[in-house]
Amino acid sequence: MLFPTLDFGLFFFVAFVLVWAVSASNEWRKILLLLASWVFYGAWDWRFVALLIASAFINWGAARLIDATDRYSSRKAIVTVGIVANLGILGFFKYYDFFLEQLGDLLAGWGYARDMPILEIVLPVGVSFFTFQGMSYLIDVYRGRVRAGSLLDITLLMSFFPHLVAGPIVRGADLLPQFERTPRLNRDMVAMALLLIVWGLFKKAVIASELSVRLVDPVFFDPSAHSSLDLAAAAYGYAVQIYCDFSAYSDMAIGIAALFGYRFPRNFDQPYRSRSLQEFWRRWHISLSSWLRDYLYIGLGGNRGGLAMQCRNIMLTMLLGGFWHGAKWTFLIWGGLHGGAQVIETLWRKVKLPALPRPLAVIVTFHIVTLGWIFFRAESFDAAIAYLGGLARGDWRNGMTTPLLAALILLGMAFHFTPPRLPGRIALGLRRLPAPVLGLLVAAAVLLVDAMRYEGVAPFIYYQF
Amino acid sequence: MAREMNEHELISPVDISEEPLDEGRSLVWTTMVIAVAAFVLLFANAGTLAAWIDEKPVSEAQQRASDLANGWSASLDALGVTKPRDELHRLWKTAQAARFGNEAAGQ
Repeated sequence: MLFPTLDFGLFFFVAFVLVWAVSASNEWRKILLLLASWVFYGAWDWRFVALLIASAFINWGAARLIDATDRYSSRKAIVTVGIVANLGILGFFKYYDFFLEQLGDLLAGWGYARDMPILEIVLPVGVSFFTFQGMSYLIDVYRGRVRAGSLLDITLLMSFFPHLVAGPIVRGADLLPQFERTPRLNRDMVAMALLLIVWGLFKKAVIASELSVRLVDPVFFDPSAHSSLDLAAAAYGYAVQIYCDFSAYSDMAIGIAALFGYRFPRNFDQPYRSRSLQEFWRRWHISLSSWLRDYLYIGLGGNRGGLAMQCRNIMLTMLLGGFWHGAKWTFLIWGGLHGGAQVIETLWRKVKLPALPRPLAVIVTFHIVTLGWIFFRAESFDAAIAYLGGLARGDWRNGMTTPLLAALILLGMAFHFTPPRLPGRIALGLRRLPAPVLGLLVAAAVLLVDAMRYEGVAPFIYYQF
Repeated sequence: MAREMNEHELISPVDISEEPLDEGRSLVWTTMVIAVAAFVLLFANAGTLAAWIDEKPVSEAQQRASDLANGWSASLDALGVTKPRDELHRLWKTAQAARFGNEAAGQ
């Protein structure tokens, strides 16, 4: 069930009416939200609802055990077992086949070719998101950042449908306190929620879909059949597409949660205006980058232990961040590229080299990010190298880019240079409107998007992670 | 256990002012906004509803719903209610077909 579809619209409408109708009882509203979340997740594959419940049960049980003991060694042992269980779920579904294939290749290389027991496992949608959420909850309970919650709250924390399949990764410390009492709506959050939903709909259904279908997919499918100009346009197109696709999901998730009275954290903050890769990761997929910082980078030692250790920790964090996206070498290279660039930035500052002028720093950062997207999007390492080779060929015929596609790429980039407070200011104006007027405006905006959208809606890019 | 919990600050995009506007009837206001938007779209975008029903697995109920939705869509087309959406869609298709200079489509 995809957000920008009528199926989801009807599902949301029924859930909205029922949940607010029973809101005199906070327990009943949470039970209804949980059931709605399972229906939402079961629309992909009912079998994986059991996995979701099992995962929540493991994290709830482990957190309770941690909370019940004051012995440091016992608490540490329980949190370790809990993390291993979460990683076991993620590893089995996401990486089992990949590692066996690599092992098979290695054995064949040594002359010991074997048939490996490849299972062709179906990847449960959103497994990377809900296992990371479970782990952060366990670690937060262990560190004393959040109290162990009830089974209902933990199951809802991990299953709540707006963030379930593609984030943001909402931590227990963010959401569990909100589950303790029935939330109240105010006009501020509703006006902003509606703006985020309509804005997300536009970015996904119009910009991301149009760029994907008419430019990016055909060029990445067969780079050798396209000119250097087409390859460059598709690389820029993909940079805009992935931003509009993923930030649209986050915007809609934040908006939908807000209509149920819950506040989710910001996940994007105009990432392509960054002056460095380190700044980029403070603006792109913020819930993942802050997760990696708090639970991996700092866990590895962070910037303690000298410059060499800091560089090692940056590199390891980014490599594992890349691998989180999927069991492919191209994701590792993408993570390595981001890690390597951040190591260079760290060394640059350490030896006190002069900073680049702001516009140049933004342009350099954007092009390093776009280079990374070529590896991220390519089917294989060889395909990415062929793509880069094609870019260097110097054949500047235009075969793919139309005025509309060029305008959409420019528009997607222009969003990054608008005043950061602009959406908030618009929402402040909307909150004072009478309901029928705002309803008419929302309908007009949806109608506009529907008239422009590509026929059919492709799944969000981050559903595969 | 009574361990001390650390403070955690949540920065959410839906927190847009220091003093949120809450006139005590925000839920009613929200429900009205959603209901009005849905009602307007039921008229102005009737073709999308018919197309959505046509995509569903064929059954007796689906056939009846499809007949109703297509009849509804045709009536509104005849009244000109769906014209703004159709005109916008036509403009969008024209923009899609445009090419730089004298390049031919698919070149």
